[in-house]
Amino acid sequence: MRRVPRWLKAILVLAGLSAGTWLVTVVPQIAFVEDSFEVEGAVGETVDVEYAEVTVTGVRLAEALYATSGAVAGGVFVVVDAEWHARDGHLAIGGAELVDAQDRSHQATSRGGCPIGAGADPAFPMRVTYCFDVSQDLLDDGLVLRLGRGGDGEEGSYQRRDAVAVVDLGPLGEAPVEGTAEKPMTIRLPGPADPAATQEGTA
Amino acid sequence: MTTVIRTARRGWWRRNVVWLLVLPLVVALAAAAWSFRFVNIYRHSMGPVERVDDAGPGEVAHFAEDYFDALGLDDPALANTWVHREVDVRVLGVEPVEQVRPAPTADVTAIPQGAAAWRVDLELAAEPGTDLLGCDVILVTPDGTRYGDDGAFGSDPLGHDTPCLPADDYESVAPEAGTWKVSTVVLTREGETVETIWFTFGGGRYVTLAAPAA
Repeated sequence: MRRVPRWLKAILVLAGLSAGTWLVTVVPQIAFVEDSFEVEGAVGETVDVEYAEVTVTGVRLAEALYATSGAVAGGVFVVVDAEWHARDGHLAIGGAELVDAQDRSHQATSRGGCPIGAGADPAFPMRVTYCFDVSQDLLDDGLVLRLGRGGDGEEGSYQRRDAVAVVDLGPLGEAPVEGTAEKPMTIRLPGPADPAATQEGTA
Repeated sequence: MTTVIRTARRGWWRRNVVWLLVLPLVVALAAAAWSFRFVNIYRHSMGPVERVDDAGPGEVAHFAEDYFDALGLDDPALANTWVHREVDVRVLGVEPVEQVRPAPTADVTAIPQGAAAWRVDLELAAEPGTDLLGCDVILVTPDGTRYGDDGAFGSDPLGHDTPCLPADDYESVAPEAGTWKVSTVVLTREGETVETIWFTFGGGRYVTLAAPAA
């Protein structure tokens, strides 16, 4: 059998590399395969995210709050009350973030003892309050809330390829600021949505 | 000189026959190596995945597993070793109850609206000293929903985090008697029926026990 010359082998290798480079350049990269499955809803509306039903029951503003300790906002606290009802089994519900009009993500804060996650049960709805410390300037342009199961990984890394509830909170610039440094807003710790089922009211 | 010419004439497949035979073995070893964390850590972190026994109504299910004791809290000599654990479980009864007796640390102090409570009576047997920390009793309804499955991140809403321990036992190991009975309460949605009871230690392995006939 006739041997293939070395120069021809080199050309074949280079041609293969060139073809590979051309493929990954010309063929569009499918970035969206990592995106979450977004289910949109509104405040007061129950959103079905396959693994749970989630409802944002209220949105409030505070300059200062108190859950297990006192905290004064660097900007303003956006306080979101939500209810989670797991579907097939217990869930960790730590994936909460606000997205501003410039598409920047703001993670929930644990300042003042605000919960950044909890567990949701399939037997009954759980009430969770998330706190976000954001600049006052962002309120007028509107904020969007994203809630998903799992942790609060950077840029929603734990929510990729999973369903996420997306709730438009709208412009909040005109909303009253309830909690002040003199009278901080009280944040309830996570518990059953049914108030009769717990003695844990305010911390 | 003759030998050199013969070697040059051998085909590529014949010259590399040994490596071609070794290649599948190497690939298998490589796959075993990279799948170790998936099989032993990640897969088991997703909840119960490996059923080790299945018992009918009133029958005994035999739970057996090896777990890694990282701290050796019950026996310092077992720290950083693999420990074998065997527990026999039998369901004595599953009955609805109207009231719950939560632990002092519980999130739930009464049955929430829309929920129902079930008392699960179990008989267990294990070698005295067997570590029972982290045991879990899960009620499964016909639609596959798992109630009482605390998962890797949570705790029981009624504070019954180790429901297989005798009520008066302050250690997390099997009592000297070797056989004991416990009662625990699990919450489900209202209107559900319990089909199966799962018993697990959260490490991925579990046994299933059919609920007694109503």
